[in-house]
Amino acid sequence: MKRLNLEIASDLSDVSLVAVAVHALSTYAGLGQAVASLVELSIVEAVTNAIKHAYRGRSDQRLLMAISLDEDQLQFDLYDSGDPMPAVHVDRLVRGHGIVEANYPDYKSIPETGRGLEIIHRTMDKISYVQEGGQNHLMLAIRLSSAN
Amino acid sequence: MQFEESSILDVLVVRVRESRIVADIAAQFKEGLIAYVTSGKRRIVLDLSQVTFIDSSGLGALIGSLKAIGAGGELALCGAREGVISMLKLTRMDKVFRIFATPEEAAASLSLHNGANSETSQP
Repeated sequence: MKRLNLEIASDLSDVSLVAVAVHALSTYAGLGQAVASLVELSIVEAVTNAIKHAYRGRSDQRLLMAISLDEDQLQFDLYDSGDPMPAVHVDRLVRGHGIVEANYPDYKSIPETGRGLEIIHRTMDKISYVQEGGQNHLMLAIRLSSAN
Repeated sequence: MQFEESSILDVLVVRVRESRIVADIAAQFKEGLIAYVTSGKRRIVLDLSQVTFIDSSGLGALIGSLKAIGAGGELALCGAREGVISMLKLTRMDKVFRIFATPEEAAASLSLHNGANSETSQP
């Protein structure tokens, strides 16, 4: 198994650094460009949520992302020390909650927010969220065999 | 937020000069687009050809701008790259936004001067 650890400040302007690394690692792992983009999107949503909600927008905290790659899957373990995710959000993340759908030109019912968890749910094959040792630990993994 | 403006027929084409529309600039992005609407522009094509990535915050800004234009106006997208298209499909927003390959195609569809559209027929 290959491993890489990334650590960033809880600053939204630094999220793109993680995103670019995740996209490159995803294509290195054999994922196609479209799937790699969705994995990048999922990680951006997860890190942005941690900064905005767990750390309440404070930019002086730290986030650790441990990335591991084996023959079968690409796994991301995100750790933060902020507020835990509410149980209802954990449930939405793990089980999915659907997306409000509409067709052009009916857009008035479409909400502007609330898609991040569903994006992660629809993209990643394995999702777990636990609190351990004073840290929040979000695990996201995607299988490599069926993802292209 | 960097935008580059041009006109095709009676349609404003706004090229986004940013590669990533994400949480730290989404509000600024939305403000920029809504400024066009409040200045009277109601038929807008957003050229995303230089945009490599949009997250849910950026998507929310696009939806907010679409709502700001409202009935009688239109906001269409063009030049979207594969990653952006994947995001739009995953979130089902490819059914909400009109998406074209080029600014010319989008403007021809939105323009009131193309013979097919009329002010009263617009959403």
